[in-house]
Amino acid sequence: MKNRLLASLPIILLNVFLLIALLTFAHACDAHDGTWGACHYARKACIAITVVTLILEVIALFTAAQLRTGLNIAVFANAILLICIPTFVIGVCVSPTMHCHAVMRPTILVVAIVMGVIALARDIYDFVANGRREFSD
Amino acid sequence: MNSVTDTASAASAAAPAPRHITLGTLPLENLRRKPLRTAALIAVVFVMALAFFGGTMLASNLKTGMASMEERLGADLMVTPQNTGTKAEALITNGNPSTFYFTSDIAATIATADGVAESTEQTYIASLTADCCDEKLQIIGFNPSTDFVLEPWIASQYSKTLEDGQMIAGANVNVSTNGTIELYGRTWPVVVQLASTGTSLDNSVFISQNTVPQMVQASIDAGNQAMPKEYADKAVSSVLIKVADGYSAEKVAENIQKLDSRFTQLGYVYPGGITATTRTALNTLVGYVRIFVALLCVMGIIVLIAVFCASVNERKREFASLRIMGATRGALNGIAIKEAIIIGLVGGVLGVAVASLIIFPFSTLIARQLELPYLQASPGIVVFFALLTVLAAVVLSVLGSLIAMARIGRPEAYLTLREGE
Repeated sequence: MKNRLLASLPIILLNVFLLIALLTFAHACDAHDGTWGACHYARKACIAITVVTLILEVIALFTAAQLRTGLNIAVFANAILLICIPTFVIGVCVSPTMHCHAVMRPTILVVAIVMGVIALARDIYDFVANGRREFSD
Repeated sequence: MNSVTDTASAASAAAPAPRHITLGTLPLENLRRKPLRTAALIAVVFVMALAFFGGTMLASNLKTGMASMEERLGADLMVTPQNTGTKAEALITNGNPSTFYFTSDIAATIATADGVAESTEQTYIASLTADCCDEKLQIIGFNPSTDFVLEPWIASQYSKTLEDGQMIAGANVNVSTNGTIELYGRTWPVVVQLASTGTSLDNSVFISQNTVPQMVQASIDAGNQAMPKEYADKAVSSVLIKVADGYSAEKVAENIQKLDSRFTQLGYVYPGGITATTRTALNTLVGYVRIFVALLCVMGIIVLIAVFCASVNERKREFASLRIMGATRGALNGIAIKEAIIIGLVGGVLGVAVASLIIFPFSTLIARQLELPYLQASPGIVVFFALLTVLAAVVLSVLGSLIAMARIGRPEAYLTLREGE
């Protein structure tokens, strides 16, 4: 359990930070004449992904090793999705001076990149460990 | 050597084969089997690399921004309406868009003053917040036939003459895919978007003076009048002056004030002075950054040597055993150097990666917070400093390791092994 917690803790903390950031300082731009910009929807999508990742990480604390490997891969995929949402899939406001462009998008990208690297390292470690276990069986 | 008994084969099938350690893989195994010590050493190198690369990039970006700002300031003197000097200064550095003006007859009189070699007029209008998610823009009207400030810069990207009704957009302006922008409810064609300068000019659009009345009319139609209609064709926000040889900007300002008693109340802005003030602020900041980085690096080197010494001290017996097994002093130094190279490489790369995750994505935010010209240095410079940081991290780690090794290299191996008994 201790090792599982150690493996999950960085991702849980990163997601909690991102969730707080998106709800506070790394917010999207306000509506203009009742029209929401792309950043508003990008933020909503990122919040949803962050909540899903948190749920996956909590489930991973109480599951068997092989199921955990599957959940780790899902977390890595979520990190990739987090990178894609404010860049290609939905995007943010075009002007680099806008708050969403200057603060929200970099915050999401930095957290997603760090999360992706940790998840990938964990996936590789699990893959190698599972391989060894299967070999020894 | 390759003969394996059946029993051994059965045993190896039941359990994973033991890792075969050679002198070449020993450094990696040493690091792997002491994760806490390895993590502590990497952490020290990481902090040094992070501070060095982050600080160097910050200083480099500020200097690039300053150089870019100086390139854009072609005038020796700016004459602006009463009480608008500060707003005009903000336009040059990193300020908010604003609208102010006097009339073109004043500008024409100013141009006749003694010591004026060249003069040109500009009109400034702060736009409304345009489409969703656009910020206010500074609209700058200039006279392409007399201009000597913007033209040399614009000419590097757009060689044709700007026609009436056309626009040139700054780097941060949101230009639609069909090459237009919407301002005051009207669509304006953009002929070129300029490269980033790191100054407020990036948030500006440039139009010819003849387009200013059209812009004012558009603002009236949009219900947000930028200026009274009767001023639309004669509003001038600043007269930019290049002084003649043998005259100082201050002397020419005095001469302008002598033309009319009302001219004493006008705003006189000296771009050279602004540059000097900005440069002083920038140099102070860069100085503090350098001191901070230097202190952190010195502390890091001391900690690194201390940690290496403690680690080598703790491993005296291990090294003595290796000596007794036949390893030469050179081989032991080789092991320590390889360990140091791995630590330096991992710590250095991690430091550069984390600093990059802060410096590059948040560059707009950093520029906004610093309120100084801030322009991203070229990729070549970034790669150079990244490689330099990793190299410095490796060299310092190796030096720290060698200093520590020198301390235990002297005594005889047998005595070291029996030490404390």
